Amino acid sequence: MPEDVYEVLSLGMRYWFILLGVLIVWRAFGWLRKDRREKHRRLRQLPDAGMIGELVVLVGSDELPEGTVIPVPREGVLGFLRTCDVVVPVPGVQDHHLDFSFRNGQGLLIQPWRGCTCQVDADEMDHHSKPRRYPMHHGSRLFVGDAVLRLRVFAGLDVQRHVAYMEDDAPDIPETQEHQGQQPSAVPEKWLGPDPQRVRQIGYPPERWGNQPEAWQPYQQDAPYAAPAEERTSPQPGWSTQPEAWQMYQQGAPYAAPAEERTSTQPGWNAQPEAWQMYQQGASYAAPAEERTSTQPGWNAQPEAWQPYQQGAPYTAPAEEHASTWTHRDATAEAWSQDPPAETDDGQEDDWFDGDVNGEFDYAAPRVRRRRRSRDET
Amino acid sequence: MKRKDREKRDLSRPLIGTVKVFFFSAFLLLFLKDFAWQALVLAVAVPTMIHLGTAFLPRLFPADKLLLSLVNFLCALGVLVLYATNPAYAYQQATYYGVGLVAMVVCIYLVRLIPSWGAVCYLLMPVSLALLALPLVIGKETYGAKNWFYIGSLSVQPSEIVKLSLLIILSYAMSRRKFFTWLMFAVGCLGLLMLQKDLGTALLYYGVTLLMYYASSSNLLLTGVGMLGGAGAAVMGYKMFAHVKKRVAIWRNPWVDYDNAGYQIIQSLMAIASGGLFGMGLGLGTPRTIPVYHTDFIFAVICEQFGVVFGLCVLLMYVAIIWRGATIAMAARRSFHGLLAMGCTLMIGLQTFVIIGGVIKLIPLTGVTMPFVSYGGTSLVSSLCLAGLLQGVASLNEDDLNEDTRLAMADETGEEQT
Repeated sequence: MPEDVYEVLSLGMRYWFILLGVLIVWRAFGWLRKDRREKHRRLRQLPDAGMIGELVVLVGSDELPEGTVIPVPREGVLGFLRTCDVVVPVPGVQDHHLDFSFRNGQGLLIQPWRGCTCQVDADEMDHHSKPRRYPMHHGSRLFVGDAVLRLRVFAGLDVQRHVAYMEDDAPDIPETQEHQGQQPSAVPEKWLGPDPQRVRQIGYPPERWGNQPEAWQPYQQDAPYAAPAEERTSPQPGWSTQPEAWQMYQQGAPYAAPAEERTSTQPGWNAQPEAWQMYQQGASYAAPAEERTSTQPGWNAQPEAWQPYQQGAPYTAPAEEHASTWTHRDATAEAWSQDPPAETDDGQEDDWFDGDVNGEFDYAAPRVRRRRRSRDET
Repeated sequence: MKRKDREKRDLSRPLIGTVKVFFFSAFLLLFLKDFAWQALVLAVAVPTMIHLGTAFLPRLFPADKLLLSLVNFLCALGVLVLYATNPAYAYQQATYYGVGLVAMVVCIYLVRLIPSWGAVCYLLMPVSLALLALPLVIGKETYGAKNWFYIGSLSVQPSEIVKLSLLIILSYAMSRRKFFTWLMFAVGCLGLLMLQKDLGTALLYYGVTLLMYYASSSNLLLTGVGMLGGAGAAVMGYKMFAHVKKRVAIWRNPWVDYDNAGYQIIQSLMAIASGGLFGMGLGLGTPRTIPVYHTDFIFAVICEQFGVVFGLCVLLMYVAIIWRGATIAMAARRSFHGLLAMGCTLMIGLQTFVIIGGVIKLIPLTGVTMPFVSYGGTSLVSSLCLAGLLQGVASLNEDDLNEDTRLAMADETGEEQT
């Protein structure tokens, strides 16, 4: 093409290129704005996006009152400063106190910063503790500074394997049903000490095994660790008033609160004094017949179950209801046969947790309900 | 149109369509200049590569289409400008563009598939330091810096490759609070770069390390100390190295030595000025009078050919990439991924600022390339790898958000969660 013609064409086309350039920028920024709106909309629908659970304040301070729910991201730092991912403005908590990170199958792993200490349930730890990162599970209590926090993990997250580890890439330990709840059995004929690889996976100091070789064999098969008697220095209240329970606990029995601590807020005790007496003696709460007006579906499908339920038997869902949204149950077969707390079953707030600081539970409420609760309370 | 309808509309098609029309018409115009069939091939090939890069890739994984569109636009703009000035460079650049797209996909999969980067990082550290030390042994000095080495006819700039491993190692070590690990590695890299006299890259590494440290720790005090240390090092460098003094003097007044040391910057400023608001026209003007027009001064060529308005558009595209990168970093669920995305964004942003600032005489000129646009295989591939790492984190974020939505929907509808 002749140069002068090309020059004219090129001079004309430069406006076209600028127009397209401006259009590209305009559309790119329009896209950014649209995505920003979309992101805000999705976060309004999913305020728990990116969170793995909540820390409920059991003991706090004026700035962090009891009952406050703090959302927990997948990874972050817990400390006093506002820049931390989980802010705990309570005396005794350092500016940056501990790191935490959630891993499927292992729980919320925590590691105190240098010079900081904390306690998970009965286990104290500092920066140099073994295992370096200690797992917290659904229901674990965290003592940090003067604060006591309880972890609640959202449904749908895998926190089944209660195994500590020392290294980042520790091999996964398969947990099978037959291993759960296995009791110590026979003492090995010749005690050769713990398997170093297994100790490394579990992260428990090998010197302590020396105290109880009989626990070693089942433990190697993934049974839970049972502490020897001299280690059973529990911070639980009530031991002083029930020395016989303390003795049993030292022999391996679970903690049972003394009668005077059993001041339940459950209604219905007045209507069934005989149940109250049993409860005081350690039985679990069973609602009286007149309170048993359940909203559970499925009664129509199994009228034969209604009668024993009214007489105190736990609710058993019919087979067609077994598509539960309680994912904790999906993951633990033995939990499926257990009954959920009645408060969560009828769609109300799951206040089964409140006040029961020392209680044991393994139910993880559905995510949606937890989200609403978190939003209301924080 | 109602607002809801507007929000439902897919914005990727009009944007990608505009990008493709831009390059098709631009290469068609260059074809009309001398009827070279290569321009016609590029008029078809470049929009096809853009289509593959922006429309096909998101079918493999949840990719960020906006980021892909902008990155592809800038890469193709580099090919276009190089073809208009020196077609031989353009063919090579188009090849590197294809290689870079493959490398980008590999990086996306690496981020998505590697669960723990610990072992990778400890492997990368000695390899990166050895690679960075190679030019000191077998390298050749170019423009005052000994930062290249040659394998046959292939020239390699290791600092561009090590840039990626620096970001990965810093992200891993900072997310795990391994202070001395990242500090020793960063100091090692900076030391080697200083020995090579590659001050521009050293400045980039230093700035990115410092800002990533601030992002990971929120420690304003130590970051401030680091900044003061950097300023002190810059003053020392000014007093110790003659060529640094010369660069600063040229920056302050290039006209003192206009036909020698100040020639580059004066030619660059004259090109930008002669382009004016709307440019001199594609394929017109005298861009080849600017020294190193194909690498360091390619922004001056863009301004001369397309005008300052278009140059501003290019700048705004970088701003959009940085905005997007920061959004991806803040949405990441794991601190490693967040820091990696932030590091990639900072690297792209700082590099763009350093080179465009140098070209328009805002700051002293340092020899770094303009990300995605400048000629150079190592530079283009490493820039696309940075985009790939960003894309990988973005796709993981999207996976996580989809999983959250699925769980919430399953809870609401009472479906079984698997």
